[in-house]
Amino acid sequence: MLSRRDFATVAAALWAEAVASAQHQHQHAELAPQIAAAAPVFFTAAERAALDRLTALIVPADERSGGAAAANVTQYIETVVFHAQKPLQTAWRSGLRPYVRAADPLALLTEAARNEFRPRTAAERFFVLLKDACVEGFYTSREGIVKELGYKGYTFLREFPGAEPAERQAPAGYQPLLRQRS
Amino acid sequence: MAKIYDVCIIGSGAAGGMTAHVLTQAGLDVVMLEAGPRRDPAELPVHRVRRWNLPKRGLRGDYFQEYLEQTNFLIDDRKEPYGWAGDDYFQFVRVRAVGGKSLFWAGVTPRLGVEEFQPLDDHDTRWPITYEEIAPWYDKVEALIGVSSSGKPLGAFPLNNGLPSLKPKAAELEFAKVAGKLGKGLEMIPIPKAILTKDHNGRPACHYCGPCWVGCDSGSKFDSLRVFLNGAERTGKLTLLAGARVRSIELDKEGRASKAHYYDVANKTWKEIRARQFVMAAGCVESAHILLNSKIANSSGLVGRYLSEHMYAAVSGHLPQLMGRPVTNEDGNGAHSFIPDLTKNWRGKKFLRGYQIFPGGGTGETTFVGKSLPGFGQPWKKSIRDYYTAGASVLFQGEVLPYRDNRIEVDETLRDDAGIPGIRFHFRYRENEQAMFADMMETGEELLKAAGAEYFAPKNPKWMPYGHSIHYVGTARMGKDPTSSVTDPYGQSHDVPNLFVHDAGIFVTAGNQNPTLTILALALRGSERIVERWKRREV
Repeated sequence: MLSRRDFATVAAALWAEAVASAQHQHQHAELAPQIAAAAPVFFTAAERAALDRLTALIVPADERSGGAAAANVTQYIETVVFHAQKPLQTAWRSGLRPYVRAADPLALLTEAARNEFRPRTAAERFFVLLKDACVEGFYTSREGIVKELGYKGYTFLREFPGAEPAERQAPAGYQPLLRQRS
Repeated sequence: MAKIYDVCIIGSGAAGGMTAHVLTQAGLDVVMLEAGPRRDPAELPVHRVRRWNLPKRGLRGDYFQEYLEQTNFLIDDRKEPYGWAGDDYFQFVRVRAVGGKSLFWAGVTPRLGVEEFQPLDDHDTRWPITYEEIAPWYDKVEALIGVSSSGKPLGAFPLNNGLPSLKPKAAELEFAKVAGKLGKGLEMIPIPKAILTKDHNGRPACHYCGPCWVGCDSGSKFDSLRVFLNGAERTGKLTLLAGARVRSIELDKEGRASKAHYYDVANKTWKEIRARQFVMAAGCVESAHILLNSKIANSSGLVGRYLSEHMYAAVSGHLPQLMGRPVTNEDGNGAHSFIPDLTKNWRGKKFLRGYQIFPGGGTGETTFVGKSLPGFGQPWKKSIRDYYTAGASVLFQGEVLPYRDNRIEVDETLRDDAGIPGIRFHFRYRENEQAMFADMMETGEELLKAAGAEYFAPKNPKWMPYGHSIHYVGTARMGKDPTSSVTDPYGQSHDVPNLFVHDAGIFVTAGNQNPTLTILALALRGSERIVERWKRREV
């Protein structure tokens, strides 16, 4: 397993320059442009194109947000895989292979998703890897946090109102949906 | 002839800041050596770094640390390496800046309780001071820095003197309703925090802009830089040397501390400072590191030993009654309510000492619930939105017992870029921590289920890494007997009469409360004694 420290060592070298230059910018400017400039390359163009299609199927665009494409989830995944150890890199490369040539990736993806909480085949296990990466990549992006979830933090409040004591109930028609992976 | 200062303080965090404040107010001539650079508060990550800017998005390791790495507030482990024994990884968080870790702490300020100073069990030893002895200094610190009130005393948990209490959030209220129903006497109360709920001593009230561990933009949260050091410098009595990494303290022929040798990081040269008294305030681990490298103040053999901290663990679920709510800004300044440890043996005899509980949740910065929801595409995204407002978690912070063999040792093979020998951690949890952890998991499950959560017990439950609490204590423990302690009950070295330890190194136990308020109280008490002795010309 790639430890935090290993990752930190590799990543620190990559980002050090970007951060140093950022510190000469306006002090309240976000550091985003400098950080994004250092995105590493791991996938081939064909793999990246397949990944673009897959991530957009899992997290599609809609009226709320631009989905995985707008959040550049592919690039997030590529960054993670670039820094990962060999077995994980291999899992991504071989998992993507059927999708690179697939005429109907949605059919393939639907098939692979059937046993996502008890995956057995290589294709089913790759679906879990891919879906988890989409969750992580999208829901930590500005698109996912601000637009999709509608997060309201990072703003100033004169007073923190606190919540009112109340009888709160599950919405009508509530059915538990959460599942645990085996 | 080089200048001789009245006092040299090593470290500029909470303990060093308090010491500088008291000594300069009294007119002593003080020099402070801080290994890190002086940083403008405008360089803090708050409002400069967002989660989406982080290359690892806080997901490959520690979220908090990635913010600080991005803004160069942490030590570069390649330039200043440290180690651990075998597989016992120790997460050693080292902030390098004037103000130290106080710039990034979460601000939680409970007092240690009566039974945390004087445990009722026979493990190891007790503090040489009682709660009643230290209470007046708690009072003074709370008035000085401004803390929010816990509203009421609870069991062994004492009432503080605070500003208005923090108001509870929706998820906290849901847990508050059921905490009392577990038959364990649990009760949720407002967390005391060194975050101003109204203007105080010239500092503005909190504006609830986000998590306090990215630094505070307004100085509404206590930090050493803005509450103590800026003012201490204005007295004209404080010389603050940043980028001064101390290697060792040298004794004179009479066995008194006379010089600190330090590496001037900017100029890559070695320098020395002379003073009549020295105060160690570099943080528990680093102060012990310097004393070990100096080979002083250690006739007890206990410098670096009895290292303790808090065990952290968490369980999480989703509360259906919070689903489908409108999304509002309910971040506040982190957790607003908690369940303090009640100590009166509510947990029976399964383990010694106690833990506190932080149940919470709500519309936070993000959610990863999508991993546990079946399918993908639009319907799946809709379910994620429904569950987003319902996220809930229960975080635990428990006392790790003091053990003689939990320690740091100097390792000559781990040299920093100045050639200073580094340290290796020898640290692990024992049977008591394992039993406490099992109880945390049980209580967490009970709380979540009582609140009606959708919850799955973790398959391989595990505590967070050693060191995760960043509440390092105990490496220069206080006591009355020089053979079984490093300092006296005021932090004065038994061996070197003009050497003092003012950070959490002097703690005898970690208790289960966050340590900073106690660090400040002990530093205030020790500093006032230094002033009294100075006035009586005992130095």
